[in-house]
Amino acid sequence: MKNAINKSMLTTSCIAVIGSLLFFPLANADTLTVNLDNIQAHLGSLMVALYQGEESYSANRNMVASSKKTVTSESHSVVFTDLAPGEYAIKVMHDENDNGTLDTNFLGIPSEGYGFSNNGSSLGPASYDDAKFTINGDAQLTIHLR
Amino acid sequence: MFSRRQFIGSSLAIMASSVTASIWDLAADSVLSLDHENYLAQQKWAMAFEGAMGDFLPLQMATSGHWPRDVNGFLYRNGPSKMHRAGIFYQHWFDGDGMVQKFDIAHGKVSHMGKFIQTKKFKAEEKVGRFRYSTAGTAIPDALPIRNNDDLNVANTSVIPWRGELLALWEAGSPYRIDPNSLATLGVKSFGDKFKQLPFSAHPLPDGQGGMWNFGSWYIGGDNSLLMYQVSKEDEISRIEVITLPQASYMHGFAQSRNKLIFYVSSCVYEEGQTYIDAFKWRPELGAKLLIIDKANFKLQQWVDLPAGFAFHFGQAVEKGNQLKVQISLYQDAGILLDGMTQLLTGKVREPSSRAELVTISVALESHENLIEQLTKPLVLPSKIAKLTGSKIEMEFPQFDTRSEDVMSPVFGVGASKNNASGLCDTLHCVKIRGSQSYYFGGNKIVEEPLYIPAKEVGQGYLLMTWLDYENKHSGLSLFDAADIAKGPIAEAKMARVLPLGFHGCFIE
Repeated sequence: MKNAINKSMLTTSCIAVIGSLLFFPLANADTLTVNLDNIQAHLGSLMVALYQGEESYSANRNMVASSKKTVTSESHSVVFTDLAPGEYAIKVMHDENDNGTLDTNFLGIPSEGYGFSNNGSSLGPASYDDAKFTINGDAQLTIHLR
Repeated sequence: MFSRRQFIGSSLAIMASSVTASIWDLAADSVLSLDHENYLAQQKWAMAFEGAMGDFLPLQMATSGHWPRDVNGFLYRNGPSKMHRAGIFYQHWFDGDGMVQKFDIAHGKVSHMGKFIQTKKFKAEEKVGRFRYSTAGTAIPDALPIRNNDDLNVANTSVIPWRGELLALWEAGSPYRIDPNSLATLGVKSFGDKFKQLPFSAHPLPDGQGGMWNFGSWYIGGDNSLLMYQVSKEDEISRIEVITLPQASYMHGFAQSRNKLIFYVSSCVYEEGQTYIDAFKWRPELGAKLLIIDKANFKLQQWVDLPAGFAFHFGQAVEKGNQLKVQISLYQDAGILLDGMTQLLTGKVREPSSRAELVTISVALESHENLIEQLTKPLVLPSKIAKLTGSKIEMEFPQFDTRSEDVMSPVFGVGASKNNASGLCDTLHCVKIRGSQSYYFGGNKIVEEPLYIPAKEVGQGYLLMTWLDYENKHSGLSLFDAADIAKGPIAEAKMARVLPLGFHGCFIE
């Protein structure tokens, strides 16, 4: 996650992209815009992880895409492109001190911000069922960081 | 993504998770506010729970009587003071945002000011003009999810002096630092990253070394944990012990004797509910227990079985040989927490709930050797037999001269007279080893915690207490000579302000 790679980064030429749009089925063509608000400290980094499937989401493994963004304001947006239609879920962590982890106290309670797609669970990790959403075409959603 | 163990969340937070949006619809808001207005029309004392619209600017109070030099100083009090926003009214007394009241007493003159504590919650809600977070006893429609327990911190229960500042205390999260002069909020008190956001009760006790004892209770995810702290005078949590309780009892305060810290593990137990308060259930079948912890070694613990009961506050605790006596304001059930405080906010005539009687619990202390042995062997020592002696005096907010550690001092507190339909306190009591005294304030006053202010000689002192006269819409102070409260106040101060009733305070010379 620290070395996040955004699949939206285009590594092919514009001509190739245009060609694919013209001549091939749009299997991985959806764009997801994730709006992040209620960011409570304007420092550090946001880490946004996109998962597909409950196993991946629960194990924090094999994320479909991720993004790391330097925090400069109360709200930010992250865009994931080239997504196949299907069911996804998102976890967000605000690494305020850029130490690569979600800081917690003696009892394991987070002292840094976090959030989930659908803003599920009032406190603590949202279940996959609470966080899952479906993409079938371009979409956007908002996650209120807590 | 969560690199450490999955956190379990605060006890105050779980309430929100069990409330679904479907419970609330557009009608719910209007029902809450309409009900409240109707109730307000019925009972004059309801103004005591209306809260404050904003901060109170400094105001000189009218004084009378003789204010002795011993009480030149500052009285600070804290209590729930923002009780409604945008037509939504809180449903439990514990819910309101904290406000610190300051009474400046100097040479017979008294002035008052009050300021809301600028908690994270208060600022977020002030900004948008409506409640955004659910609270201890109220599920707010469309509440924001929370990061941790401090998102719900209303800092509304007590205020104490600490290292030149004030600490405004809640019980389920961090203290807030307050400037004692301006009452400006200086920020969240932290004892280091490891101890951020830990539950920290509103009743710390001095440790005799410039530091303090305190505790927090943590009941989420099936935990039955009592966190026992010693905070050093250097401002660090120097000792911490996690003690597993036999039941997740509501715990508010504790007592200390020369060598022991004493807890009452009540029969009001955290289970599940729509709010934090709703999650507590009365379980008399579990009984209650006295937990006696050795100050020198938190692992040395004695457990004593008690009949079912409930309590917020302790009086004095004294050791004599191997005998421990501890005073407690004991309720026969938890009706005051589970129902009574909700009924107060509705302003309607209360259903009678049990009232606190000042009770002395006497029990033989386990020997040090037995307690040590219990550490190394998986045995459970049989409970010593406790003797409960009632005073037949209804008493809450007990206070006493803390300078006499080994002898039971007179204990002072407040109660409601028998004919008081609201159950709100109108009488100051003093209970001594032999005899008792009382002073009745009259039918239109609600009286609050009487703080004991020591005079120079041990055993001599004053009682300083606040009150609300809801008939005349006055708030005031009364000062008593502790040696003879029956003769009435020796000095008073009053003003044309209706202050919200609060919980606890402190006096600083």
